[in-house]
Amino acid sequence: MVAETNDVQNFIAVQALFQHLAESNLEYLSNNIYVAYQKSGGELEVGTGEAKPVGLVMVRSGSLEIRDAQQNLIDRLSAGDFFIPRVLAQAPAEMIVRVLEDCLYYELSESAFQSIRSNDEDISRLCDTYARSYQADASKSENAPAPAVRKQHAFTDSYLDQSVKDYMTAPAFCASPNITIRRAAQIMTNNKISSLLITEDERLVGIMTDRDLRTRVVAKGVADTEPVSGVMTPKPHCIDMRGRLHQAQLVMMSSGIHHLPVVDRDVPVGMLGMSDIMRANNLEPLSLTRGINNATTVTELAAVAAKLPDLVVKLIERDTRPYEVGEIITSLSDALTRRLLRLAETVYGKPPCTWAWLAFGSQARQEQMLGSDQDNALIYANNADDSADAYFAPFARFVNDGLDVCGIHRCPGDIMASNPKWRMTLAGWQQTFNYWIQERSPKALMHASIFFDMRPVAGDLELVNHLRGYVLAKARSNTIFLALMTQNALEHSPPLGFFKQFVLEKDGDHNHTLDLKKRGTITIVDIARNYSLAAAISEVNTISRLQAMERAGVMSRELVASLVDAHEFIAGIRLQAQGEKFHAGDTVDNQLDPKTLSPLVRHQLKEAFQLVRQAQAAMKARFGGGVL
Amino acid sequence: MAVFYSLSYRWQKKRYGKAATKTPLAGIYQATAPASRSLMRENRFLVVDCEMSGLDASRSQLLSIGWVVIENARISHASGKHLLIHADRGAGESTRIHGLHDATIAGAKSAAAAITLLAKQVPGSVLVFHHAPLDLRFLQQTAYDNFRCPLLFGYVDTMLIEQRRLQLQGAESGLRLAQCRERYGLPPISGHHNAMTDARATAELLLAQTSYLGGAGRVSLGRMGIQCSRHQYVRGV
Repeated sequence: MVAETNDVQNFIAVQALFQHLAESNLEYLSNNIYVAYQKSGGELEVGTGEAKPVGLVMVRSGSLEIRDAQQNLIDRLSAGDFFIPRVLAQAPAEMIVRVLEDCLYYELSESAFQSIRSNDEDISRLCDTYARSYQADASKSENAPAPAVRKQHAFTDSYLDQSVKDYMTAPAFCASPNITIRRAAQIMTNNKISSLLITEDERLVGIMTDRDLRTRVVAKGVADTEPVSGVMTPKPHCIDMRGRLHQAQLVMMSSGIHHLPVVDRDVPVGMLGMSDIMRANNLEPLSLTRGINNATTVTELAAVAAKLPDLVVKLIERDTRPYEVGEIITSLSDALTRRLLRLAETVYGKPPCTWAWLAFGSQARQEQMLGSDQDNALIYANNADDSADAYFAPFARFVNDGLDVCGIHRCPGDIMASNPKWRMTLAGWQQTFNYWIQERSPKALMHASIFFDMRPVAGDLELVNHLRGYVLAKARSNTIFLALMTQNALEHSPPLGFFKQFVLEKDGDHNHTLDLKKRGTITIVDIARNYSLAAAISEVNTISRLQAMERAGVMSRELVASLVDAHEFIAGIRLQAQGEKFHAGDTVDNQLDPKTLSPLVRHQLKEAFQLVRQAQAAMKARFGGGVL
Repeated sequence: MAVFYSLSYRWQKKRYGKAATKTPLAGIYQATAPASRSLMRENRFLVVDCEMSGLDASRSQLLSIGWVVIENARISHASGKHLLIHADRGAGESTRIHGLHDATIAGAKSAAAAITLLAKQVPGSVLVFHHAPLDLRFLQQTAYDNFRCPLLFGYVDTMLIEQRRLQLQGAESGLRLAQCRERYGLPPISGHHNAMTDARATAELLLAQTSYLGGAGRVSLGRMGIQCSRHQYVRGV
């Protein structure tokens, strides 16, 4: 015998799945490989009942596609890509592997596959990811209408999966707005409830709570013979019965209420109280929130906040959808901020004027991830004078420092309320935005784009609503501004050529990593922001913006659905990578080594990037003309 | 063809069976011939390629033999063998083609040992060559030189399969191994050619051809054009 390399071993040695293996392992693998061929149009068997079971199939040349029984395309494979027959056989739907182009393929025996899998952590992890993505993907397809049904099985046992419907108090107690205040109080007393829904033609028009009775009736001396419509809270926040508990929690926390009407398409069906959420689970997001709200010093607060990364890792492990993780992290950041503002008030006394604390960027969009830093500012009512700013300077520094101690680090660009530049009256802010919109320099906009995502975290919400209305009205009518924003957004482009070098990486010494934020999620965030500015959409969250864009008719339903999917997919990979980095004790950032991706995920990522390119092209066609 | 194959096989078994006893080829003569009606999937194939010092079997000799096994229509990668053979007269002219130098051949097997190892693989197998006549001439010559009796086996020739396919299509194209592979979308052969890489390349070609003939579960040995090896004596010792 002659020691020699051979085609099989040479080939598998440079594939993503195996390229880290030692020579001896590669030899072991190639000795357990069986080479087979199928002409185009033929099918590969994925049955498990064979005498020599196959653990893994890798394409050597040609291409394959995997479809489910309904002919929906699940995956396409070309040279170097693999599939695991057992995973296909156990997928929820029946899978068919068809040859697109004459295909030479390698079958790795089940025993060798299991042996390498149990001995090599990387391969084991990749295969687990592959199997999971397959399970998740089997129900998805080209034509699947509702991505919302995906992954539902993944967190059935967690608090997050609990739908509002299962925890609300039903039926809802409703009354007409014409009944007297006394009658309303009687209904509430008789039924031992602390809030009453006011409906007209079955539709929710208001809510009356114990607190309303105290503050708007008794304290103000309103006669109890007046109609309830005069003292109720009109157009209350509500949540659809199909919503999730954590969403309800967000609504309650952000609007400072303890009762949330539950509706089924505008018709009240029940009521959800903070206590119902407590009852659902004393799980981390809530116990953390409670910890935050009970903290009386920054040190105590920091101790609670230190548990946040662990919570996020747990959420990732439970396959929580990325936008939900973003919402949960953001809700905790918001809670931290509010608590710090409270603590600041106890230190510096009551603020001298009406004010609001603004969040920008990812916190505003409710898309914070681990490692997101602060972007915030203060806005005062127009009647604030210099003494107000003198009060808020140390106040803001206290909060910014506090957040930093709690792990939400200071903004490297100094976009923080402690910077005097970012403490202004409403009029001052309007002027600043006006300048950005009129200023015809993309540089100024690059700096400014972060400000166009804004959300009030605490204080007087009306101030921020005013500002937002002003900005949207100004932006919408300025085509040159929109063109520049578009040009600016196109500077972040998804990397398409990137993966072509994938197999060659072992030879070169390139250390390719991919910035999943800059090259991935941000591209979609930019698209959603631009369209929202153009169509005066007041939503801030990217997914909500995209959905509002569809409703407003500024983007097609298909493109919106695809972008929502792409955003979720890229954010999911980013989150997964962050979780793994945290686990490994590495710095949590947005970089990803694409070598760690399975071919399937790689393929999907490629498709997601392609889609973003299309959307960018459409955006350029729509707004780009303003530059000329 | 099929009838001729089985008659020829029986006749040769009778003719050389006695001479083969007490030689390493005895096992071959005790085995039964693979049935021409049996299917691709049911058979074990031994795909063989040889390198020689020249094209004339009377003056040149075997330099190496490579083979690989196909079972259940799958090439078992681990079954591959590459035997280098002592060159009595030096490797000569063809070293530039094959890259086999005298120095590397030194310490290789004797021709007799190589044929013995090959003979062990033959019983129960159908042999496969790309352009069989040349390899057969050298194998039979070497077998006879050493054991006074030829090898006996049924074999198919991927070049003939290809030739027939092209004739049916009325096409005229090259029949060299690399050209045939290209038509089936098979990847180019990497590295330099030797008996081993060419045997593997031929094995992949056979899989591709049978896939196009109707699949391993439907193509019979007869359809693949199985023939019986014949004694080809060219040179005295």
